[in-house]
Amino acid sequence: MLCSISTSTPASNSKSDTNWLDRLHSSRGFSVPAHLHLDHFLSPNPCANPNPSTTFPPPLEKEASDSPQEVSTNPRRRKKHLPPPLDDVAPDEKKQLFDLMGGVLAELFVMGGPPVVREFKEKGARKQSNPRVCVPSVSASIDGCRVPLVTSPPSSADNSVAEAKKSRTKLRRKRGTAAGPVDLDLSAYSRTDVTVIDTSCSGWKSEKVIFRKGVMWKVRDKKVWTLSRKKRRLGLVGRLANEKDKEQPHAESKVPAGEELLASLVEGSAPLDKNDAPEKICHQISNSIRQKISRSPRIHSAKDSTFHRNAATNQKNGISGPKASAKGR
Amino acid sequence: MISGRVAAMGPVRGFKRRKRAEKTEAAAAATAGGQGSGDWWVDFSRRITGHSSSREEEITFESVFKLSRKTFNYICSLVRDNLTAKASNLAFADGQILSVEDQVAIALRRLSSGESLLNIGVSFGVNQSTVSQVTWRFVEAMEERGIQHLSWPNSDELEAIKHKFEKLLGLPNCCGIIDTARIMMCLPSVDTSNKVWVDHEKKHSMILQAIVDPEMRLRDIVTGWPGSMNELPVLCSSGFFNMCEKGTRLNGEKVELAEGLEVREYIIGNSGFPLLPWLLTPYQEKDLLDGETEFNKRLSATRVVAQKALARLKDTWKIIQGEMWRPDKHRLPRIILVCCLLHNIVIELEDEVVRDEMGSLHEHDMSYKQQFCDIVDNNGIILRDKLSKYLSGTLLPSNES
Repeated sequence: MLCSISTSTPASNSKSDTNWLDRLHSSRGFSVPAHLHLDHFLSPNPCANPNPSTTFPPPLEKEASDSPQEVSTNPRRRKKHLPPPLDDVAPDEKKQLFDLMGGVLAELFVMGGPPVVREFKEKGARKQSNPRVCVPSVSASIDGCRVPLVTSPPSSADNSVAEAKKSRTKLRRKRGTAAGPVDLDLSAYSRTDVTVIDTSCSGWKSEKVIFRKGVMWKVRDKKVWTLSRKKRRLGLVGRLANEKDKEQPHAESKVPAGEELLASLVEGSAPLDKNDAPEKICHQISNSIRQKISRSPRIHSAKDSTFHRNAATNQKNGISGPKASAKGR
Repeated sequence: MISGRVAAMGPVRGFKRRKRAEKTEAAAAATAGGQGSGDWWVDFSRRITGHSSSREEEITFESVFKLSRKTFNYICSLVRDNLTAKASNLAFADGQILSVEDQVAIALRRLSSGESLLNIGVSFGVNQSTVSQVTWRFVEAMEERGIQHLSWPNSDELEAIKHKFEKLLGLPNCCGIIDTARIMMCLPSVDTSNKVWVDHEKKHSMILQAIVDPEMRLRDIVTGWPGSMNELPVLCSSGFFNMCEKGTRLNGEKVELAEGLEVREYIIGNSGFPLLPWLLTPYQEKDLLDGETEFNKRLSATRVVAQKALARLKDTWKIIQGEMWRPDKHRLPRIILVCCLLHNIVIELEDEVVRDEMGSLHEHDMSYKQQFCDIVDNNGIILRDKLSKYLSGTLLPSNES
């Protein structure tokens, strides 16, 4: 349309412009001051000048005086063919940006400013404008805290992440002490089934399941062989009685000392309460190892063998270093 | 043309099958009737070598199986019921059914040489799948029938053991030596699930923890744990540990060395084990008193017994010596157990063949560095100090080894 306008002769063009504008003004019913031309309405910042009457529009006038052929041509068309110098463009863009920002702020704070450009609005919505602390709810995280953490909206605030982590460890600890090691989330551990032969155990052959995560270990019994045979032979009543018997020791959370040691190596949390005197040593060893681990971060990244080399001597728990004793003699 | 060939091959196959069946029946009848040369080994060696002579056969038998004939016969008697109970069609390539002795011989050869199924199959004239089946049947039978050969000593035996240890290097009231061996495996490292089997020397291995008596018999074993677990977790998860902690093992009478110097029952181990009230390990400090140095000397000299025992175990039963190619990790512990049983049987029957080789081996797992455990228990320290005092004093026993 603009091109078609530009193709017309300058003389006729200027003439028709005024006619068309006048016709428009009269049909719409507004009165326009005589000094305002079409270019004023088509310019990108009609309101930029607080006092248009005094300064408007010097370049147009200048152009008109310099070259009468280009008076009627639209400045936009001129931009297409001849890119304006940078000095001219930069202030325009700055002003645009200022307007847009103003619009956004106006919308945010409901100031009632100029309309907001759609594109800019979409960009702004990508991030959360008011970061909030996001903590997963306790009730939702029984099956493991991972789910709410993943599904919750991402938060840009660092403290919210820290909070979430804290709550996760808290919950894990809570579960560990309340429900025992059976209910722990083992999804992060690599699982290995092994057949262990121990001639000091009554059933010297047993299947175990090892859960490993770095230097952390968990060992579980995998009783398969004897159970399946019993189930086959027993009737319904016998089976129920058998299950009852099985539940009895399970409720007491009876874990062999060694397993608990391993479990405590894993958890780094307080071991289960046990009153059996023989298993004290297990706690002692596990405590000393745990304390050493917590003291030296190097051990975390080291291999499992560092348990041996770096395991601590603990005076408080009745385990003391060899040097101390040698001197004490 | 093709159909003609097929038609021509049909009767031949059938003929072979019939012929094999006849042979099998004949062989079974011969075995049942006890016919043949009268001695199983004569026939068997003839099968292997094609000839035999009266004097050479004994030597050949021992060189093949690293056992005396007496021990071999005992092992056969142990597993005979189990191997004959199941009806099987296990046979040589020529169709002759495998007798109990044949099966035991094949299995022992497999366990002692560590050769591949194919090699053993070729040398003994059987299919390699038969070698596998026979070996596994033997392992199962030994597990069931031979387990009494690996047990913690009763009180009488324990007294004898303690006496021997004291006589050996002067450690009073010592009941055994604990040591750990690594059974090497060749596993694909691409598979991430195999990481758990990688030990501190970056090799795939399975742990064998054994408590050895002065006769080099294994009195307690724990095996099956992956190589990345070390001495401490394996020990702590063992039944032996639990029993000692509960006071149901190593709970015999204390020995009074001097006035107010009582020593309870204990075992000894290397520096990779924790120092516990019932498990004594060497002093690890550099500046030691005379008594402590003496204690360390005697401890390491006594521990040689365990090192020799495990070295001999691996050397005699080579299936657990080299790197096993992708073994079944559930079956391997059972194979290790049977090797331990055989090791004890050989010692208990005072096998001259193996006894001659006893002195030559001193160490096992040469490529593994000594691990160190800093965990010490107060009561363990007290007991160790008592012993070092005793050893540094004038009450040194005579060194009769």
